Amino acid sequence: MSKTDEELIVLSQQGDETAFAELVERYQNKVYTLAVHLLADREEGRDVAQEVFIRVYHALPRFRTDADFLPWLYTITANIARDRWRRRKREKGTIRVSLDEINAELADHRFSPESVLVKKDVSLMVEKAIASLPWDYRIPIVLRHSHELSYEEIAEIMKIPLNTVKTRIRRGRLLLKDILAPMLEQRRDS
Amino acid sequence: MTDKRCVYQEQITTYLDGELERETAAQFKKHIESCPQCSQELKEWEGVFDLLKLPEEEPGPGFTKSVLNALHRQKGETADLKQNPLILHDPWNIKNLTLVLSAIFLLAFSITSWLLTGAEQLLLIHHISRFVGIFVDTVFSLLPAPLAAWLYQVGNYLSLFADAVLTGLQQKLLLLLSWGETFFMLIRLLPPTAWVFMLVTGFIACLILGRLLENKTA
Ligand SMILES: [Zn+2]
Repeated sequence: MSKTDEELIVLSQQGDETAFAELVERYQNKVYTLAVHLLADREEGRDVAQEVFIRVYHALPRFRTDADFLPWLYTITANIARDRWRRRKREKGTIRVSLDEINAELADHRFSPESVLVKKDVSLMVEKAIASLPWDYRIPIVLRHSHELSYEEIAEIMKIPLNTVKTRIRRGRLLLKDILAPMLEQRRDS
Repeated sequence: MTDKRCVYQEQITTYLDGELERETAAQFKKHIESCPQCSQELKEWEGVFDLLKLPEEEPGPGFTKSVLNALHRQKGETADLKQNPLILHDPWNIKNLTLVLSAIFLLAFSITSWLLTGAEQLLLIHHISRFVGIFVDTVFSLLPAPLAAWLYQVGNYLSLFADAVLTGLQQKLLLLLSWGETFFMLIRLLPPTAWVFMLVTGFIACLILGRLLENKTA
């Protein structure tokens, strides 16, 4: 029989490594997915996810077992990803995936023999579009759309007021709608 | 299409999020049926939402193992740094810090008593400097005369300087010795049994404190 999160957390707190491994196993996809969607980079996403679990391991003794585990993981993931993003920006200058770049890619596909975008390509382009948003809009958008969290849950994870979450999601979406417009058009055509 | 934006348009995304109050949502649904502008907008937003729903990703095989490996590597590294008293968030480190401090204290204590019993050890410094002097003289005798004379001059100044430094150092050491002596007198003021009693109680208190700190985090 599989153990509950709480049991695994308590065991990990006592230094049981197998229990911690099971926790990682259980949540790795969620953490990795969030990191990838925030950074639009798989390699870096994996690095971030690894760092998240290492930090979790060290912070676990202070974790209260009556609190929810997943939101806590999301908060840590968002913080580490943000640090990465800032470092990357400092090192390589602003990396803003431009509208032109996405449109150019779309144009490539339009004239290719298989004019219908493959589902995977669509996802990659949407990822890029999200990664072109200002950081503060990116987290709530990703948490809302790929992780299907409510406004309230997002406010709790980001530790910001509910109204701020709503505003950021609204503004982020308006930006995305513009960026994704050509893709939507093409979808409608095909 | 009219220029005027329909008031319901503000609600479209909130509706798709499922975050509208039940009554407001019912009203909105009813409105959509009669408003082509809103229903068009709704369709567009549905497309956007559809795109934004990205699939779950997997970090690939061996992820858990890489996490555990990284942890082990870290543990190996921190094992070397365990004596570092700066890391205080861990009760384990606090215990270690206590141990290190007591070790330093004991070391200082024994050095003081050693110096107290054999203060003439300070002569060692003079022996060393004399040996260095002989060595330098030998080297000078092998050099051409003018160069040796010049170097000798410079060396003279240097040795004067070193002498001053050493004398100062010796005075400092003597000062420390007098402190040590005072300390010794203080120690002798109390009977040995009192010291043994204090040591034992201190040790037990340390053990109890360590236990308490450990329990708090477990
Ligand atoms: Zn309307």
